[in-house]
This record gives sequence, C-alpha cells and structure tokens, in this order.
Amino acid sequence: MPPSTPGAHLHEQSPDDVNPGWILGISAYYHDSAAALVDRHGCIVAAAQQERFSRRKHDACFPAEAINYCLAEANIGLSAVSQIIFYDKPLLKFERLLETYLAFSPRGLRSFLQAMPVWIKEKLYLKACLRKELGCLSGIPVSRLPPLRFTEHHQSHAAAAFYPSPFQRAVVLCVDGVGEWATLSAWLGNGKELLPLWEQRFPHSLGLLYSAFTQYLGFRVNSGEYKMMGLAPYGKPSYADRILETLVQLDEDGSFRLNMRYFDFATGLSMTNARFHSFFGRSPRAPENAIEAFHQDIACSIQTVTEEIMFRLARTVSRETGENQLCLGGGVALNSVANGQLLRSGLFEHIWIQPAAGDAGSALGAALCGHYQLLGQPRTVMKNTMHNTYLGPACNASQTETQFLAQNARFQVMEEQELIARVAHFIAEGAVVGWIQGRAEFGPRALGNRSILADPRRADMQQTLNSKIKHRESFRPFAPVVVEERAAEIFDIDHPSPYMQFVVPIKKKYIDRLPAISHVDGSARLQTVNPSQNPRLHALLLAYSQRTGLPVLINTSFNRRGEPMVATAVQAYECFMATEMDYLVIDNLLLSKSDQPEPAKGREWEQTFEPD
Amino acid sequence: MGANIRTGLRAFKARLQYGLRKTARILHVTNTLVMLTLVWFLVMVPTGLLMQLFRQTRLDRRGNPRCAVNRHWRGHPIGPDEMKRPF
Repeated sequence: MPPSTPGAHLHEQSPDDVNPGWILGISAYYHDSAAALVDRHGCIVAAAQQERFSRRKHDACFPAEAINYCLAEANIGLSAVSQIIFYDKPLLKFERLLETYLAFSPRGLRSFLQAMPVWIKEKLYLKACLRKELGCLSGIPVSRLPPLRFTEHHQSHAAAAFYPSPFQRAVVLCVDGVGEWATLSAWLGNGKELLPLWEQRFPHSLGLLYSAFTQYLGFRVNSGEYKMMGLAPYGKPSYADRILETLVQLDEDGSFRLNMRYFDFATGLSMTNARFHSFFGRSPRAPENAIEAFHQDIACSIQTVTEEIMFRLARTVSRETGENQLCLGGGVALNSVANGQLLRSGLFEHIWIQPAAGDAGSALGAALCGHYQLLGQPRTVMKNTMHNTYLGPACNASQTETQFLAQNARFQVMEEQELIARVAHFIAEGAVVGWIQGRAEFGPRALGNRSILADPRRADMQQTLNSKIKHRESFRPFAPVVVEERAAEIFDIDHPSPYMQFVVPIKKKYIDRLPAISHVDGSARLQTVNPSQNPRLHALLLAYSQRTGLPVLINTSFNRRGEPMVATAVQAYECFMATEMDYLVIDNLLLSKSDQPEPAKGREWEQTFEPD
Repeated sequence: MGANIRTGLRAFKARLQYGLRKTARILHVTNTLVMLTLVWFLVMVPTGLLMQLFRQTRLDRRGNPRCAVNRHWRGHPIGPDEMKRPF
C-alpha cells in the first residue's frame, strides 16, 4: 500500500494525536544536541543547543537544560506538549552499521568492539532511554508522557531548511556526513508538503569526505571543518585533479562515489588510511604542528572539489525541478565559500540556508515535521520565521545587575544613545568590545547578540583578536557585519545576508581600507544588518560610520577557543575577564576592563576548555 | 498485529539472552568484549564473507560501482505513520 499523504492520514488518528499543540523537537546522542519548541500555529518559540548550558562544545548528551529552557520560555510544562519528535531513526542507523560491518568484514573488529557496547546498552533502546530521560526531567510518569515520534535524519534537515524559509515552493538540497543511510538528498517543498526526490547513500558522503581531509590536516572532525575552509584560500588547488581522478568518482549530475580503498571511516577508528597518506606522500599533520604550503594546497584542493560537487548538485536539481528557489540544509551547507559560489552562479534567483544547518538545527526540523507532516497543519509563509535566529536564552538586565554586584564587577548603567555613541568611539579608537543583548543566537554564528566587535580598519586587529582574545590559530579570518543598505557598495553581493552564510568578494577599493576582515583572497563572510533585524547593532554601525565613513565592524562569536558561545551575563563576564577584551556591553550596562578588580580566576580558562 | 509483533520480539529477545548466557557459561566468558569478539568471528565474519561472495551487500567494499546510478529515487511522500516508529 502506498504511504498516505500527511493530510489524508489525519482522519485515521485519535483526537489526542491530532491536537495541534506545542511540539518539542530533540536532536541528541551524536553531536550538537539541541531542543526546539514550536507552538500550535507553527511559530518557533525557542531553540537552543545544549552546549550553551553545559559549556561543552558540540555536547552530544541528552539536552535536558535546552529542553527546560524551551519549556520555560513558553511558560509551559512537558505535559502541555502534544508531540515530541526525535531527529533521526536509531534502528535504521543500526541497520546501516551492521550492514557496513558485514560488507567490510573481516575488517572492522576494533570499530565493532568500540561501537557495539554503546548500541547494546543504550542506543538500541533509544525510545525507552528518551522517555526515561523526559520522565526524569518533567516528573511525569513515563506512561503519561506525550507521544514520541521519529523523523528521518535528512527529513529533519530538509524540514529545517524549507519550512522556516520565505518560499512557498523551493527545491531543497541536504548535504551532510551521514544520518541513517542518506548522505545527500533532494526534496521538493511546496506549501506544507516536502516530497523526497532522491538521495545518495553511505559511504559516499561529501560531509565525510570533507571531514576526512579535515582530520588529515590535523583538525578535529565535526569541529575543525571551518578551519580548513579558512585555510583554503592560502593554497592552490594543485591536488584537485588527483582527488577527482582517484579518490572521488564524480558524475555530471553531481552524484559521486568515494574510492573506499583510501578511507577508513566505514569500519576503522580513523577517517583515512595508510593508502590515503601515501597517495599524498605525507602522514597526517599532528594537531598544533606548523601549517605548511602542502597543507594549504590540500585544503584548497578539497574545497575546490566540494564547490564543484555542490555546483553540479545544484545544477541538477535546478534542471530536474525547474525551480528557481533553493533551500540548503545539512552540515555542508555551513560551507559559506561554496554557498557564495552558488549564489554568484546565478542558478537560482533566491537561496535560503538554515542558519543552524547542522544537527542542532535538526531539532527544529523535527519539530516542524511534526507540525506540518505529522499533524498536517497549514503553512503560512513568513519573511522571518527564524526570528533572526534570536531564539536562545535572554540576558535579563536587572538580573545581570544583581549578579554583577555579587561578583563585585564595576559597571555603568547608560542611556542607549549615549552607550552606542561611546561604544562606537571606543571601537574606532581600537578597543575590542564584547556585545551582549537580548536572546542568544541559535546556530553556530554570532549575529550581534553574543558578539565580539572590533575595528576592521586596523591591519593588526586580526592578529590581536586571534592571539589575545580568541586564542586561536593566526590564519583564521574574521567576518564583517555591515549595514544592509550599504552592503552592495562595499561587497560584491546584491542579496541581504543576515545569517553570515555567504563568502563574497570585497570590492577592490575597500580591500585596503578593511584589512582586518579581508581574507588573503580578498573575500569575507558577510553579515548584513537592517534596523528591523537588530536595531541596536544597526545603530552602532551607523554611529561608527559617522566617525570613520565605514559602516562595517568585525563581528566574531563571544567565546574563547574550545568554548561554546557565551549564553549568560556571568559567562560573558568570565570570558571578558579571562581575555584582553577592553569593554563589555550587556544591554545598557557598560563595563571597562580597567575599572574591574583583579580577575579572581586568572587564566583558568586554559585548563577549562579543551582546544577545538 | 502490533501487539503480536511486540510479543514476538520480546520472546525472541528472551531466547537470545538465554542463548547468550548459556554460551557464556559453556565458554566461561562473561566479559562483553570477549563475547562481542566471539560474535564477530562466529557470526559477523562468516555472514559478511558469504554476503560479499553472493554480492548481497548494499555497500561496495572496494568502492567499485555496483551500478551506474548513484542516486536512489524515492519520489513518494513520507507519511505520518512512518514518523511513529524508530525504523
């Protein structure tokens, strides 16, 4: 029997099942655990990553604190939730795991011994585990918990990419490491319907290919991919042809097969094997070792291959569906260089990318799947369903004052206009300012509510920020934020880019004027801001522009290396004191480093956070 | 129907646990890793090799394409029923 359509099935469900109440989405147990809450109208009320609460980067634990936050934001208990949706299907994942071992046996014993105990003890009973955790969290007996449902991994990605988009119809492309079987998938979104068109399956994965090279270059898998992307412009794509000849068999339609003789991720404990290393003539770079021209060339080569694959895939879905609007989801959609290439290719009139495109965003996708696909609720297209990603916990000004007084922190309470004028002056004078306001961002990018802001005109600012504030590798570039109305004057872009998802060229006459945000190839990962999106940040940019003539600032996430982005005022204060930041602004409070008492914690952060 | 499947699965799980416990007693092993190593060599490797011999695995171990098509077409909606189960 063919599967029924979402709407048709509603009539077969019990009244409890179709109650379009609150829907809680959860992603957990792989990386980037998160929770998201959607109300009865399909509005996203709250979404947060567990790492922001647990202070462990890419935390994979059950997102208890994130769930608690989402429920508290809506002022409801778990009993008010009508459906809980988990973001993938664990048993299908287990099937993939077993089939992989069978296909590659007798190799894979070590991986089998490492993976199986976790599956036997926990993951095979994930439904029971989740219900137990939810029961403990809420105090509700397990038998009376709301129903727990499961979406496919790529279904969650596709839902997160399409439903919050401003499109009634669009083709959706999801590209990531792996979920159950799918590694990349194409969908057709129309209203509330999301039709799966086709998929490519494990082990042939663009995400895993990129991660394999990430590990080879000495960065962490699922964490260091963006470092490799930042390293790429320093090199030449001298290995791209060899990669396409030997490691990846790429078809015209963008689908591809990996030559698994060179990779170890299917059954090994590492991503690449000795054959891979001898193919490139070098063993993997050890973390923290010097980066040489070879590593830069490798990074550039795999980035070139990734861009080519993404371009061909986009061209294929464009030809097959005839759609002129594209939504992107999955971890590979965070590759802002490839996104920028797609934008400039002109294949699509509009491109919308889920700001939390990785697995954290899947919690949101799962909840939206519940609303539109399980409950069949109507969808109204809105321009800003994501609320500019400001979906996380807020900093409460009065509470912050109390906390700061308890910590003996010295601060001034200021009027907004005066505060903005002074901060613009500080930045123009070369100060580094921590900038906290309102609700935290959901997703990996700081978009002006949990940001560190600095002067992009100073050539030494990149080094200063990297070495004194962020404590990270010197090659890594910083992103600019610009007022939307002047973005096209300074950058080669004719679309708004509110979520910092596109790397675009800087116009030639501005490259020298903005050295701290100009990458080695004259590009930048741009965020545009308008007054409705973030009025205070927009006002600050204008105030800075009045002094300098440039409505552009450096905008980097408020954290140190290996630390999740700060969520609360206390975390921000600790980060402020542990680094060489000059000023901290929390809503209307201004703190100057020179006014503060000696930091009680000194440089304890070095032990607290493991380098990423 | 669903209840029958659940009962069947519970019975199968009980039998499997009984069988594993009995095997462990006979072989004097209780360590999970030792048990898993036995499962690997006695079950996974022979089954895997047979499946590879008769080309029954979905994965191509050597990375050689089994078929020209990399993309698997679906083209039907995912119904609410499919969201109700973890598989």
